[in-house]
Amino acid sequence: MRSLQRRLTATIAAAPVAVVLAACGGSGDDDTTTLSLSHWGGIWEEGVTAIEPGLSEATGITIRGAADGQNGLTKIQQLPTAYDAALLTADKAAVGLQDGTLQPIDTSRIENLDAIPDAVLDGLMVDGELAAVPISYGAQGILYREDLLGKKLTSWADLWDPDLENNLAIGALPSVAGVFVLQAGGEAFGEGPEDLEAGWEAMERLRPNIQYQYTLSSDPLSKLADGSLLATVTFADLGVDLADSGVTTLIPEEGTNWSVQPVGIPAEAENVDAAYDFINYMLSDEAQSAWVEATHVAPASQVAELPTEISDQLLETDDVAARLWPIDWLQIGTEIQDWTVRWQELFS
Amino acid sequence: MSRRVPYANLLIAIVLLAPLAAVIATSLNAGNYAVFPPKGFSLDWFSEALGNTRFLDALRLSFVVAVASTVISIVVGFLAAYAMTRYEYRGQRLSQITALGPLTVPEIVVGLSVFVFVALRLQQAPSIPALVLGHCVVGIPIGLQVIVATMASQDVALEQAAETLGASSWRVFRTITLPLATPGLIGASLLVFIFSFDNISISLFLMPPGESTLPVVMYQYLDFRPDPSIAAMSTLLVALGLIVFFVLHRIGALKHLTGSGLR
Amino acid sequence: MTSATPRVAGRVRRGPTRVGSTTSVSWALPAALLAPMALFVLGLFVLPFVMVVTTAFTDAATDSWSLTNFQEFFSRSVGWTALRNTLIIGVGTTVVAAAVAVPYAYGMVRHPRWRALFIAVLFAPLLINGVVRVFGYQLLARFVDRVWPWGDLPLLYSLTGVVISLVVFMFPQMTVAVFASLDRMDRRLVDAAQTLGAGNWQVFRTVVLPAARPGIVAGSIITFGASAGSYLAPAMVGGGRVPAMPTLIYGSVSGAGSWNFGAAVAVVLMAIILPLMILSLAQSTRRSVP
Repeated sequence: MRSLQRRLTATIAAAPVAVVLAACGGSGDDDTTTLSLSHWGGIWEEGVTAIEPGLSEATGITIRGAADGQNGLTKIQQLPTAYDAALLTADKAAVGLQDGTLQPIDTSRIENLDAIPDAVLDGLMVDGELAAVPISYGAQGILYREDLLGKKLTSWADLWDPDLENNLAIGALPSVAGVFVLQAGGEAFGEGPEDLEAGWEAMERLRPNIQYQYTLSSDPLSKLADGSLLATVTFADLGVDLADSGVTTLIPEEGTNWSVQPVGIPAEAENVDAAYDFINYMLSDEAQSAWVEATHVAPASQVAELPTEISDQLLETDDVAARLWPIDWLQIGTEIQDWTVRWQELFS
Repeated sequence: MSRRVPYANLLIAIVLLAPLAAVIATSLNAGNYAVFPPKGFSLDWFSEALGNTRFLDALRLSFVVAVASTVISIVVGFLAAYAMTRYEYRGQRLSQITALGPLTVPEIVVGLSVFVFVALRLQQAPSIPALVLGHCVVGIPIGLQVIVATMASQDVALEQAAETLGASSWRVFRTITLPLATPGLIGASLLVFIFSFDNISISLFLMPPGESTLPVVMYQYLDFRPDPSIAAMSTLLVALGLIVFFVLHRIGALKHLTGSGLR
Repeated sequence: MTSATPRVAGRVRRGPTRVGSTTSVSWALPAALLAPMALFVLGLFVLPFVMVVTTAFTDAATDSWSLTNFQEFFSRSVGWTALRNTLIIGVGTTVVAAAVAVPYAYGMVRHPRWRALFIAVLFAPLLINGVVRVFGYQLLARFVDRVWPWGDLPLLYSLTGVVISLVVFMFPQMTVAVFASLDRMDRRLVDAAQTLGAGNWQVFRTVVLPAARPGIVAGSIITFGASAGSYLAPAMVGGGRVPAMPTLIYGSVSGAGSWNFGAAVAVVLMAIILPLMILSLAQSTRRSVP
């Protein structure tokens, strides 16, 4: 069977397709070092564009980027030498290190590692090795219409408030936005954010409040703005621009969960030196400012000097940074499949 | 034929266009959020959309890929449809069934499997030709279905009569078969073009580094930005589509579809 | 026409022949015509899909042959729910879209002066990306919901809403396919039938529907495949309450990155869609046209 399949492959498909592909492929050689980078699209791609001029000035590196989105790790698994560095989600980075798709980060080659909040760094450790280097993170918050709800929300437990009946939007698994609500449930009604069983139980009780689950982060925002939704859980920074539409952003006292934007290095990357140069540049003051300005998330380097007009906009104060919950990204990456099935079962 | 006003069609048209009208209205919002009915009025989001070079670069790539996929899909599909409707051969059923395959699985499976195949077996990185070929995998069956339907409903007696009267095969093909198949070819081209132009799932896997198609760029933009510039860009696309349609209609390129064609 | 009669008697064969007893031309020419398609479908779909099937029968943990993924699918209630939803979505969308598309396409044939407008209406939304069309549908649905005075409408976050939205999205494709074959209809048949005193419904049933049949089948195949395979509609219009086969597949492929389970779901989905499509394909060849 297998040999037949291989022969078919070779004779029927491979030859003509490969010829077409090869004829149109080919890449030119540059004088500068080119870093092949897999990254996310949208604002993250704009962030990459924003740091690029500074990067090539400081290091001579130019970026050849691909907006792979969620497919980044899959692409590296199939094309191990295609990328020198990859901006991944933290769960994919952790899984990637564990299955050998990524190489462990040589922490001695990262200059500003100590400046990254412990919780953010710890979450990316797999068996004592660092899967990827965070260049920014974003705290989660509750965005809600205080004016329409007629009261203040103060804690994660308030999401279960009966006054929010049919007026709450949360993220849907397999997006980690859904996991964050599970953790909030564990914090509110169990032993803490790691108590996911308590979270699942709380989820059952949250159902009456959930109007719908979103798949795009921006989806609930216009609904908050027009008043057809009273609250949502998402990136806290998305609420900043909504303030003039009557939206209040809350990061509860008891702490919050967060997403992180880490850069990993594929195990078979061809240009590892350039990858480290890139990561180190990303943690520089200049790059952190440009990145944060484009993406509105918080700089991973707490020592980065940002222009005040940028830092004033950030919700992730030192105080918030100290209250970030620990997140085990490897656990999320490994179990998200089962959780997703369970989740869909719960809500169908 | 009928001079009465086709109320049923008008009603269906209105329902069909209503969501589109909502998108267009939303693009006129003054604020940062795409709400409907719009709050305030402004055309700023149009200049925002037109000033976004990412959108424009992606539009160009999407257009090139859609045209290339359409041409390949229609040529390949027409040849196959001709065989399926004008000949009998061993394995006819099997060929028809095989051709359905790509329509039976969600696009992400097509995208991932084509990508894995190209990467693993052919050792090729994503590229524009790979992207076009990936779109053709679904484009060919779509085109084929419409062309087969048109050619199957043709009266083969015309072709037979012409042959009896001594016309060569080529002449029969050129003067009878092809003109009769034209509405199907146009319809099929439009469906394949639109499939390719709208596709996200396959493109995400096969786009080369540094390039993105328009739907991918718009989708990724929308993930973190709720502003009306996506609505404005969409409005511009509708306008562009209608202008192209109108021009094609005026120069008679669509007469097989919109006019009476051959009777 | 039965399958035993040649389609073009004059060129290839002049009478009913048994398969296998034909001259070399009769297989060489069709084979040459089919070769490019075969190359694409075999090379870029069938062979890659063999890998999908292999993946579906592989246990992610042990990397060996197993039925685990299928057991997982059929043992979970969400698997059955997704299967049921996807069938309802696919069949419901196709039936409703066809029921609206046939009169619309017939209206286009009957009103030549309006035809350009009606075609423009079909194509106006199609250049817009699916995400934006879903977004537009949501905006409108929420607006209608708000101004609707008589109770709740199931336009959003329900199975019904998913089907309605997909009908709106797929209707143009269906109509184009139907119109492409209806336009070939001999209108003198309609005139003749009317002269002979047939009512509108009778004309529609006896003349228009048979003529439209190949188009309806082609449109149904495209619509059924696209709606049963749609991720956006169940995900965004369903609002997390309408699990469907594609949402399970997406969850496994792009969410979890290990996609053995998703591959199994894809195989189940294909095993259900393909026979249905083959059945409808058989409908188009059973024609009443001489």
